[in-house]
Amino acid sequence: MYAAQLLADFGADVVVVEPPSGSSARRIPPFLDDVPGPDRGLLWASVNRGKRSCTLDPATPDGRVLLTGLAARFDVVLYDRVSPFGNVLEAAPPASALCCVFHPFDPDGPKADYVTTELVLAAASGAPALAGRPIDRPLFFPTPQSPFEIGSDAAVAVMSALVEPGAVRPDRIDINQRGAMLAGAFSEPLVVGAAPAGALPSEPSPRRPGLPNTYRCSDGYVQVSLVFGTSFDPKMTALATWLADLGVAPVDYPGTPWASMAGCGPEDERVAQMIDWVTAAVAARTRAEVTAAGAHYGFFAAPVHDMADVMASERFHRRGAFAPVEHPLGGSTTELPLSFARITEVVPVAGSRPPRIGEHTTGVLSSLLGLDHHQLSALYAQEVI
Amino acid sequence: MIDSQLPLSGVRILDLTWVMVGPTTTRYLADLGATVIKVESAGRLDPVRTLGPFLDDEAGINRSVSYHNFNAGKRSVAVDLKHPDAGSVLHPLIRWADVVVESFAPGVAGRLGLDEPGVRAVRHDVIMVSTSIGGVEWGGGVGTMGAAICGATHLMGEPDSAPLGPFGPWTDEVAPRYIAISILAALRRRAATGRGSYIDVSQAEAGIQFLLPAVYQQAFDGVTPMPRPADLPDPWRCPANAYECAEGRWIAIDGSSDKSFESLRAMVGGDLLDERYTTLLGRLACRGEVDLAISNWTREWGAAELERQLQAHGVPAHVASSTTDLGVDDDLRVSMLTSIDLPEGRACDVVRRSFRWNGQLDPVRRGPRLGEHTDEVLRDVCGLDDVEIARLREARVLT
Repeated sequence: MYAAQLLADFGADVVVVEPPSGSSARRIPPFLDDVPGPDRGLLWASVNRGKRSCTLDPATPDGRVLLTGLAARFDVVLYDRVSPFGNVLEAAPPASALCCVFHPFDPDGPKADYVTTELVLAAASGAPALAGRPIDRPLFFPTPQSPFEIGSDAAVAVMSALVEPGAVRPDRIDINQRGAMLAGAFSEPLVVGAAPAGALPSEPSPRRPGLPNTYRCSDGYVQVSLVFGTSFDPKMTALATWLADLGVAPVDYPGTPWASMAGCGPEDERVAQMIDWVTAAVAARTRAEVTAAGAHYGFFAAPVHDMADVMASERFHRRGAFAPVEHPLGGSTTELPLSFARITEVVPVAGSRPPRIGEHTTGVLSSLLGLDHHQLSALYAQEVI
Repeated sequence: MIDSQLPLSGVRILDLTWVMVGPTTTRYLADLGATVIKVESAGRLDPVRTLGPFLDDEAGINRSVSYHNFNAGKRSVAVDLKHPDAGSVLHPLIRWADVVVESFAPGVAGRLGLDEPGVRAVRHDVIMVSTSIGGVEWGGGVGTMGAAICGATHLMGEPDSAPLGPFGPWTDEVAPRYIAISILAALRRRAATGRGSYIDVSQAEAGIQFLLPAVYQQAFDGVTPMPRPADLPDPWRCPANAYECAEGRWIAIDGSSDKSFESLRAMVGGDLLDERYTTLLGRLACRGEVDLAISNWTREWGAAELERQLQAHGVPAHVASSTTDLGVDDDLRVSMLTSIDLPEGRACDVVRRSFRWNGQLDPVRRGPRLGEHTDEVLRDVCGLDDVEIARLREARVLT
């Protein structure tokens, strides 16, 4: 769903096909003003901007014919392998379209038949077990991550096939959803060259203690990163210089042999000392002051923004990150930071509201499949559309 | 699968990036068939060459497993970008390239003559890509900063305590997808119009996209999304939580649908048979008791075995995989994690892309040794002869 949103952001004409009762994605909380409803889901609204909606029931013979007929008229068709639509399209693949097919786990692996939800897929990605240190349980994002991890990965694959205009080949892309979500967890250098192949280990997995990197300051929280390792020595020297200049740390502190602290956690005396000094240094300063010191001295510091801060950020506004986006129920537009790239003469972001259930069904089926009003009425009477 | 069958076969990328966000972007393109030449130098090493884990735990610039992972399938040319004569290597490379990608700290590319005007002066229809943490005003940095600026760090933690943030340099892995699709859009545009482009992606702005429902909540409800208690990952579902198992590992179980719950209840028995839990509303009202009954049961099981049992009964469940778990997970061994042979006589694992092209896995390749392809690229791409190459090496343009 998000893959198609990204294509729509670049100007593609996207039709989302739903069962007559509406896509299950419409039912994912939270909802606008906390009131549920098919057009009120905030995930739904944010990943279906500017699309058209066509309903059909894949459990009916007519619905199946309509679905395969529609699929043949598009350059790209995206669907979940395990779904009523997927069953129809796997049995009758469109001959001319690029198909992008989503699988929860590796379709050839031992978990191919696993049932998943957002929570379960997130756990399998490895990210929650890495997050949340130093608290002792896996930590999940409060907003769903799988639509974005998977959708953006799929968009890369699909768009690579669209580089030559007019040259779409009837290729097939299979997306491993867990695999797409792993990319994030592997952002820590944790490739496991030494691990033996075989069964899952019976020992508890080590949870490295991890270093705190957010600190209370006078107007919220600020991030100051402690990183030890040859390449980062200048950053630690810079941080130590700031601490010494403030009088928090001794004047010779910048001369510390940082490399010897590589791999050390907060239980290490020298690391604990540094954490204490950073805590003391930032406590009476604002996020902006600490961030400015980081930029001036050359250490890693950043304000911890909440979403209100993001919306108010003049820096994002000045960069052109904001684009007009229509209210999920239509009507007014608001500037939102949805423009993810500045590209010459290209303004990615579809700003129109998402479609209502089946809002474009008659238009889509008449224009693409040539159905007349009589036929559409008959299908509607039988709840096919 | 041979590269010529891949969609980006024939696309040429000049990669001036280092660390994670840039190399991860260009690895996506390499895995899709593009030819990627990475410019490095011995005097200014890609820091990832100095980061572990290392083969056999022995540090060395060609022994970083992380480096191989981020740079699989690329070619390496070692050039001192600050050398006054660097242009004699870089200009032919820019003329060769369809796409030039840089991730220098703001201002550095300009000083090296590798900003957009400098590069476009060499090739007018080039697609030039710059990536940063948050643009010029935020200066240089790493993905942990991108996560803080975009709002992700704030959302992860216990309410009323210091935010914990997502794992590591989060936006370093979020942003490459947005950079890659922007490049692909620009390639399509160039094919249609003959015109090049300039692309500017900041990690923080990419990170915001992964939080879209939170953006909408702020914008349209006027409510600032807050972190949730760690033991309440989804307030609308019950039971849906992470539960501790016998060996101290955790398993995520989502038994919120009636069907899943009845299967789960039949397995757990005991307190979970309480009639009040039959309805979702009943379970929501007694969330603490429901979770307690389940965790009392999960503590008697090993996490992996429990995962298999629950899935066999149709209950959505999976171990909250640690990195160790990921490394030995049979599901990932089918295609996602794969072993590559290295000249050092060892094998290491790299991660494949999540997508398969026409059922075929992308080719598995190692990362290059520092400067491994310098001579070959200078000869074949830059058109330099051995005498000129020797001169450049003598003058320390090549490192």
